[in-house]
Amino acid sequence: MSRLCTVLVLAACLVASAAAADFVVENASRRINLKNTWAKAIDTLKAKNTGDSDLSNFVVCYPESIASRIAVLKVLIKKEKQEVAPLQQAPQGAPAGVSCYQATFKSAVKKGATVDLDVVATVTGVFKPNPAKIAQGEKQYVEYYDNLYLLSPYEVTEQSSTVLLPTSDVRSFSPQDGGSKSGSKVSYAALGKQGPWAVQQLKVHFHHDKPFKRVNSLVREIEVSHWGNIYVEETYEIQNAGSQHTGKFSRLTYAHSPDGKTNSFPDVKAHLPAAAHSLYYKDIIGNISSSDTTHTSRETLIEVRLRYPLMGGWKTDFTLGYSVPLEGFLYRRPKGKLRLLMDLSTSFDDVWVEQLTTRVVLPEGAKHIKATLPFADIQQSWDKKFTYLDTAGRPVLVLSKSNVVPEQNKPFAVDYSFTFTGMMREPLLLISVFAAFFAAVALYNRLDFTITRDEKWQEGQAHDKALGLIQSLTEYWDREADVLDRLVRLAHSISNRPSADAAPASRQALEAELRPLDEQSKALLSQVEALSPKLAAAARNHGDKSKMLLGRAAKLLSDKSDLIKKDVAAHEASAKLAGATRQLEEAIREWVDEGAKLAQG
Amino acid sequence: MAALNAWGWSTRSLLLLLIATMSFSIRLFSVVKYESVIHEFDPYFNYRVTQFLTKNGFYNMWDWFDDRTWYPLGRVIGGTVYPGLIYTAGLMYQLLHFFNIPVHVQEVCVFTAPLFSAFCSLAAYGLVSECWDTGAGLAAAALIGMVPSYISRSVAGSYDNEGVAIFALVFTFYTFIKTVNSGSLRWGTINLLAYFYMVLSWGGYSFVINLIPIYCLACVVTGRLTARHYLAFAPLVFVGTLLAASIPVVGFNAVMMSEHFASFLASIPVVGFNAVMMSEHFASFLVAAVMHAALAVRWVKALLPPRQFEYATRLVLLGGACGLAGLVLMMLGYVLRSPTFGWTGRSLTLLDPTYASRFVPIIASVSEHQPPSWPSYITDLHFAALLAPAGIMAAFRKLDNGSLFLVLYGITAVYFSGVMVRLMLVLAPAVCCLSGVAISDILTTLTSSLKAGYVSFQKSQRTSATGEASEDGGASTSDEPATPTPSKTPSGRKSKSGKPASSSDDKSSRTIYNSLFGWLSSESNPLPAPVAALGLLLMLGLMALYTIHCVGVSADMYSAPSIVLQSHRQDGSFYVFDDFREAYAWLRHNTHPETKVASWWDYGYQTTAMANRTVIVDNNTWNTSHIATVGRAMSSPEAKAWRIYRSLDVEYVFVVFGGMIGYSSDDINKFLWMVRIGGGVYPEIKEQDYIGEGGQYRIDSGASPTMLKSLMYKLSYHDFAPAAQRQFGMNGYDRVRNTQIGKTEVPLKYFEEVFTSEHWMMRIYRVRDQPNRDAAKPASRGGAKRKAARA
Repeated sequence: MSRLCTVLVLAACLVASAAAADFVVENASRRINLKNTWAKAIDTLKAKNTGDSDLSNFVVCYPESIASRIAVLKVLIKKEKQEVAPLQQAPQGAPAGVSCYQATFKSAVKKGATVDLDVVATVTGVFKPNPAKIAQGEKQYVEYYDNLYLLSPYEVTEQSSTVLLPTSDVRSFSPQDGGSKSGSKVSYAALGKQGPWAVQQLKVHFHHDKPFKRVNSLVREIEVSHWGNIYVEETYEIQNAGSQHTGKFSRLTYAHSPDGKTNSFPDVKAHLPAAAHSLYYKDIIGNISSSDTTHTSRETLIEVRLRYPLMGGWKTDFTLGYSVPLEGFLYRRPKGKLRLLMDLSTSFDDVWVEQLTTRVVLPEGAKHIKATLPFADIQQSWDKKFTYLDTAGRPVLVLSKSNVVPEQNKPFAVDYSFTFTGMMREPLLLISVFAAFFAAVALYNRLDFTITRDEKWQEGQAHDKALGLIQSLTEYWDREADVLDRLVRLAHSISNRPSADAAPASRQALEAELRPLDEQSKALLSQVEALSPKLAAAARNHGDKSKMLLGRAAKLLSDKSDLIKKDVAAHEASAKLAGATRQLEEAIREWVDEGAKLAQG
Repeated sequence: MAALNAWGWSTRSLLLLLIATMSFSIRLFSVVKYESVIHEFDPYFNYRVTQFLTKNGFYNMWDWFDDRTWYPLGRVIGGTVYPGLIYTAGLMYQLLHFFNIPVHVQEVCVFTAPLFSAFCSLAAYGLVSECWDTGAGLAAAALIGMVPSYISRSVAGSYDNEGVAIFALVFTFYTFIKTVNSGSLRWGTINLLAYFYMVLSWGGYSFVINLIPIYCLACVVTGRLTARHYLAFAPLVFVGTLLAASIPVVGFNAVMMSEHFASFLASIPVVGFNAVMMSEHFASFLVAAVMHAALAVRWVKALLPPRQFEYATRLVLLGGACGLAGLVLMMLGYVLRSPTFGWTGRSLTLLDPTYASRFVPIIASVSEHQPPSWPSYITDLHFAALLAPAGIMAAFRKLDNGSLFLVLYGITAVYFSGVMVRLMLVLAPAVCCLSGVAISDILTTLTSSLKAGYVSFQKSQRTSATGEASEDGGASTSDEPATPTPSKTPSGRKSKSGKPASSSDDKSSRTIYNSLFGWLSSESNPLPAPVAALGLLLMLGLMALYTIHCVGVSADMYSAPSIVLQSHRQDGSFYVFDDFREAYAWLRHNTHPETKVASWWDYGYQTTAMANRTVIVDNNTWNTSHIATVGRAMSSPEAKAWRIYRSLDVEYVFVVFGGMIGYSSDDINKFLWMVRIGGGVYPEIKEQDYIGEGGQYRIDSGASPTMLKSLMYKLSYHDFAPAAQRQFGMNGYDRVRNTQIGKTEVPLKYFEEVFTSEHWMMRIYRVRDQPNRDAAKPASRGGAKRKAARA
């Protein structure tokens, strides 16, 4: 820092008077706000065009140490933003180590007219801890360096500088003369008239009571699914960028002493969209079991408690994921185009991001992709991602930017076109794969992979066919069994003389039922005969057995009728014939089982 | 007919699908109640190797030398793991990613065990269907799908070898029996592959390669040996052993380890008995030889006339005896060269359950190596433990190739489970298969009795419908024989004895006997309907109880991942203690990547996997003296421990401490094992020195001075007393031990607390570069500094 100062001073001496002295800053009031964990320098300027023509360019400069850490630089005229672009080369006469930006006004400043400007610079990571390492419970002191004067190529007629600090605990500030400290404010009221490139180092060494929450890297992945969801996954590496913690970390002190927690933070808070759902919060080794969400109608507030409190210099990482519906984020545009509108950066409070990468994963088949970005210094590149059932890969738009503060969490838009057929692609793929699979199986079952068709094969084929025929024969056998059953029941039901008289007629009726069956089964049997004589014999044998059973059933019936006719009481008759009945029933059941076995080969 | 289709192909597949789904989903309580995370200790190692596999590929894993563990020795991972599980998960991962399904390795690992449990229930169905029938198979599949013993090792997240190995075990048995039953060489080949997978997956393969020879031997002895047994057994022994030897971790152990020779020797006098005891492969070769001999004898017997056969027998026996004697002497010489006669500690533990507790504290210190208690049989097997003997009885009634196998499996597994809790896992499938047989048998008897009762009930309904038999009608539902004459008993309905039992006295007495006990003796005898109905209700009730028990146990006992603890709050929500991961994450992010971290070996795998730091010892307890060094450091006074740790390049030491929240499996409770293991190698550590007043291990005012000076005490209780004062209102109150600690002022001179997790469960200390000179008054020093800062 001091080296830089000497360079600046030397350079200032060499400066010839204004090369770009078209403006004269009549009044400059600098307010450097250091209350937050990053610095915000607001320069309120009154500039007069003293040149010969209308001017629309204004140059603002910062020492290199500040300029390299500027996250946001705004030049406002009546709260209206003007275009600002960095100058590749510092203007003539500028001392070394100075970076300048050029603001281009929307309306030129007339010759001789004055303009009121607000130049706002948000600068991160410029606090230098001193001492660099502190023990638990000790206060964190940091130094801030800047130029005391407005660093400008223009002459400044009158100026003042004020430094706003988070606490009133100020160890030192320099230069001492001209400055005064009151409360948490160090001010240099009247700095008088200075020529262009006035340089003097301002240094404040003070107690900063806020932990510096720095996100070293953040990767956001936004994946759009046209089936109704947008997945957002954010992977953070977060560090306490304040004074390094050194020595013992005592949990006792941390939990029970009033100053045990100084210079550390246990959590961060994020404001997610109100529609966010399916939240998860984890790291590489699993869920982090401590977080709290509150849903309100305007937002979803998530309080992310880190795995452990971050003392100075400690870091950790985690992944936060959620889903939002398409409504409110994806809009239809004319000509079948679509526009995705999402926030660029993190929604965490009071953290700044060193390196931000936002990956926008669009559905497979999205075309004509064009991004509209809120900042000029975002780099764009392309990637491809393969997820569920992708064949060609999804286009990924990769946006990267460094040094991002929360106020830069602005929406960006991605326009693309995507058709309905593209959406149906994956379901159709699945359907066709399954259809192909079933078709292949169906085909396979109809193919014959026999190598030789010898006798054995012929026999096997014939046997299989014969078995198929016997399967259909079993139907007839089942019906025969049914008739047999009914005959037995008929025998049971005979209880008086009239029913005994009617028995033969019913028997004949039942037997008549069998006749057509018999013929049909005979036809089938002859077919079986042609294929496999062995099976046919077995089947015929089985069929013959039914005749025998029929005979037994008929006998049972006639026995019962006879007994009834002899005026034996019904239950006595039943009792007498019980043995025979049971045996017959058993035989029928066995016969049926045998038939089933036969049909199974 | 319709009744035959009840167990048709489609119904069966549907049931099996449901059973498989149930087996899978009953194991997901851990994911639902906790999260999808790897559990416990060993799974973290497997997970880490799987990660390596998916990142670096198959061959690199094979060659992996891990320098993150056993510092400074390292470990050859490729040669010391059973890679079956890791390959399986790696393969599934590759497959999913081939189809661009972006699943994280962790999810694949978490769900591997439940998936293979589903496969295991299918394999059990196959095994029991092959041994008994499909009904029993379904019952066994359902039982094994939810048996708590198996659930304990295969809940989602329990990514351990046993998760796939039990499937491999059952599947190997299934294919073996299938080969024996079918005599098909195709099944023989599948059996071989299944066995290979089993060897790849788990050290328990030695159970398979010992049980199968026992079975074959039993077949030889009982005279049921057929060519199909030979077909199933011979390839398994010879080709299977070759395959096994091609896996580095098994290698030439398969044939060379002297313990096999020892078992070979022991096996000669009483082959049958000792085959049970043999721990490794030699038994199988011996049995193969016996089988060859038996088949050869049979062949020669068929070839020669009886007389010549006798001569030949004598000749062969004489020659054989001479040869054998020579062989025995050679073996004896070989075996006697080694001090333990070539037996490894674990095998000896199997033979002599008290061996480990007397001689090998590292084996004894692991809770899963303890013999199980009786309640654990009931918790882990529930009513299956009661039904298994019934299954054995049933199997004996219809003894064939399959049921003999089931019986032998059950009996041997019971023995092994009695030695180590861990081997309950081998018992569980056996018990489930046998219970499946029992359930199926009981249900068949009960339902067919009910059906018989129903048939006769229908019959009586019919008779009463005719109007005359009205007096019988009322009794028909409960009293089944309505139509027969009152003198006749239920046994009279027996189908085979069709003739009426009327003729002689002898017969009538038999009828009375039958009426009382007949239903016990014969299958086809139906039970009285009310008894059958009651029995059925009882069975269904038992099964329902079993299901409730299993679901309850799965949900409450076996689903905790042990790295996350939960406690119920008053309002029913959970409070989560996530200290382990908190501390591991701290180590991962805030220490130098090459740092060496020392802790008790239990946490070695977790440290390498979650914190990605080099550890001194881990759960692969291959080097006792290294573990003893850490044990010694923990039991030594601070200065000495400091020197030991400095000599090991250790920068951080952590201890697990439960005194703040009452977590009882902390390092203070494990401390005596550290002392014992340390003392086993370094005799200056003596267990008696750590025993306090009254011969008890204690940390209160009665603790021994050595205990209070030990590093473990200091690291656990540093700064604890004032914290306990604020938390419980009692200075130094330890919630686990329920007492005030012996020494409340615990300053540290050589170590420095660098992190303690939120609930004090993990305390990480830095080994100082130089001893702290003014350790006695750290508080005043800090205060002075603060004052200086304010000035």
